[in-house]
Amino acid sequence: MRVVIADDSVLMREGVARVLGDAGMEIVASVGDADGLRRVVATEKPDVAIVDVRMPPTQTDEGARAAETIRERHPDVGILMLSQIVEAHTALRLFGERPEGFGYLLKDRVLEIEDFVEAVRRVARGGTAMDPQIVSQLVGNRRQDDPVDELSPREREVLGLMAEGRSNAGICSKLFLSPKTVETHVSSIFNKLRLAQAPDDHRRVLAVLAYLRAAQ
Amino acid sequence: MRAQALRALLVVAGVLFGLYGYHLLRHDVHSSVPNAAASIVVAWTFLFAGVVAWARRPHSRVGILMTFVAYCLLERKLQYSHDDAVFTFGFLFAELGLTVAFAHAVLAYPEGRLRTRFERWFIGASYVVVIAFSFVLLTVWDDPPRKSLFAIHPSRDAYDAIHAVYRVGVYGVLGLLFIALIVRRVRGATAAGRRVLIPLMVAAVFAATRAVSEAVLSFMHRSGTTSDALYWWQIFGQIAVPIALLVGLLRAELARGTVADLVVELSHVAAGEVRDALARALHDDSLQVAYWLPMRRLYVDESGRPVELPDDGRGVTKLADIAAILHDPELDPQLVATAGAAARLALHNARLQADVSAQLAKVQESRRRIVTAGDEQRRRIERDLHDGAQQRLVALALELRIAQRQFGEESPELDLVLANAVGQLQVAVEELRELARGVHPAVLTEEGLAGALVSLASRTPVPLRIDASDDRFPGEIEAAAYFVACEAIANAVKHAHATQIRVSAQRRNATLVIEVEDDGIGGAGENGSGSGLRGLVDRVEAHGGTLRIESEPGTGTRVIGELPCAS
Repeated sequence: MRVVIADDSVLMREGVARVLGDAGMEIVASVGDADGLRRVVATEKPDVAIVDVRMPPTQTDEGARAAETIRERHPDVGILMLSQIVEAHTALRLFGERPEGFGYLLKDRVLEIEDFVEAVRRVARGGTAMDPQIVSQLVGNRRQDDPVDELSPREREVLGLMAEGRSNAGICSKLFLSPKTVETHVSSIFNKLRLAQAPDDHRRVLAVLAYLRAAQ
Repeated sequence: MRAQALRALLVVAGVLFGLYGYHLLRHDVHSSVPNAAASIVVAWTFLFAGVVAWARRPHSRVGILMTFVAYCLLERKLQYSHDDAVFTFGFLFAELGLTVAFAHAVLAYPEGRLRTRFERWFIGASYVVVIAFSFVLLTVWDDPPRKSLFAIHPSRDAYDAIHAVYRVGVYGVLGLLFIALIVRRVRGATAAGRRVLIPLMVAAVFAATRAVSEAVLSFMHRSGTTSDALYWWQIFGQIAVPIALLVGLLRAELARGTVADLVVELSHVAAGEVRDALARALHDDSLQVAYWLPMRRLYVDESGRPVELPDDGRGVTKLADIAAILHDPELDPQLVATAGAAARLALHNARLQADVSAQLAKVQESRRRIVTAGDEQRRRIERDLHDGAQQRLVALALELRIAQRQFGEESPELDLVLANAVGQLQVAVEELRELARGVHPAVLTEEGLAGALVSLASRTPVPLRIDASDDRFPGEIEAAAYFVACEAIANAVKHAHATQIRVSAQRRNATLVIEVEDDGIGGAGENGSGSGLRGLVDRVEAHGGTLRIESEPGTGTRVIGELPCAS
């Protein structure tokens, strides 16, 4: 698995490179600004790029804008955005209509190394990684007569993990549940939210996010 | 008093001089009684009109000029004397009264000053030309029994030739120029100016066309009837001019009368209406008042905005230390000053008001700058925290985590220590993040008010309904609205025990209206919970907005902020 890292902090780049290298990934390039990122993505065609949202020179959203152009020109390159702060509004805008091969995580998530490596793999394979904090913003802040209120606590947990982009297997290992139980929960959730069952994980994330966004 | 005595003396002397002139006309050139009398009456009309004008309008020099014309016309009669010296003196200046002195008085009306450089040049040159011609004519004078003291080469032919040139040059060319100048004056005059100018100008053109026709007719044979008609035309034209001057003067007197009537109104007029009252009193809709602020050494308008006094020909009458009145240049400055003095109290109050407005505008501007600078500072601190401390702490934590993985398996103690350290750092990062958000939420800059409110809702333990426009507003306006919402929501949760909060942020015309409504216990402000909100009043007002708090006990609380956002 070939990875590109873009972050203006050398320390951060080295740490992430080390973590992913230990997990058996190949770090093909490591850059400090958005222009460098666009260039190495074009030449190296990596499986995934880890991108800091704020980068020089303006320290606002260079990373996010670079990510947008990369998603247009190289749709098969996964993008995992890292940010010091995550906001639901920003997340939904960045994901747009296409959560495939896209992730948006709080920077501190790299400290939970196993989860982080798993998220990088997922995005590289075309999956989704949505920060748990955003999912809890989306799930937690509901209107009064929202069908989400009808979910059991366990079902809410499963809904959140689906929204983060995890597969059934991922949910199983996270909650220490059997695949059978997880499947039951998932179909119960889709029934209660009156959503059609999605044929695969990607579209499932899309459906869940669309639902949560619409109800915001 | 001295001027009055001088005028009395001039009148007496003029009358006597006129009688002597009449004697010269009758006995030395045998003029008819009507002709001689008319010629003296013209001079006396100028004399009386001039002296009256001089007395009534001492600031205008027109009266003096008219008196001067009168004496020139009287002096002219001396040329009929049989005494050589008297004749020579009389002849030398004889033409002034009918030509250049006359033109001078008319062009200088009503202030008594020539306005343009060209007018001054024209009049100055005419004095020289007219006297020079008379002098040259005296050098060739050959018409006994009178003898010129300056005679050098007496020749009747030379005299006639020079006199023809004189008639065409002075009566024709200078007369036409004079008419052109008057037409230009009347055309360029304002409405009020025309009212004052027209009677006089009509009379002057009447007299001047006579002069031009004199020049034209000098090329033709003329009958006695024509000469007679021209003579009476000239006489009536010359009498009309001083009478027209008197009419103009009387009109100004009438206007002064209405000002006197308005003194009562002007002295009781409210500060806000003083301009209109003055404009009405002086019949000048274009009138403006500029108030003098001695502390700042500048003039301002009613609302305190600085104004420059114009120097483009508009009339400016300064009322010492209070104000300047900008008015139609044709208005008599004396008249304007009189009206200004009547309205002194109102002007004084209006000036104080303008001064306060000017200071208020300055204070408001500086308050806005302070708040905006504060916002900018907060944004920078937030950015520094993100890009500096937070970034370093996360990188450091990652390094420790890697160390933990590398060495933790060998030593459980080290593993525990490092895990602890990473945990502590995570808490620190989270605290820093909250601190930065409190200083200035990045989401506000990046996503605008709606995004920031959604983010705020996700961190509020009470259900929050948001109805916010996705529009972007100026940064400082978004910040003010956001902080109002933050404070109101915090109060609803902490003090009012609300179970439902509704936030709306919408653009209404050029105003951003932020409204926070809860179902709590109300009574904000009474239990001290509104103090934070009152602090926000400053922030909102600094941007020219208003903040209202409706909070009766038991009915919940409504906070409404209105922020102008013309963009």
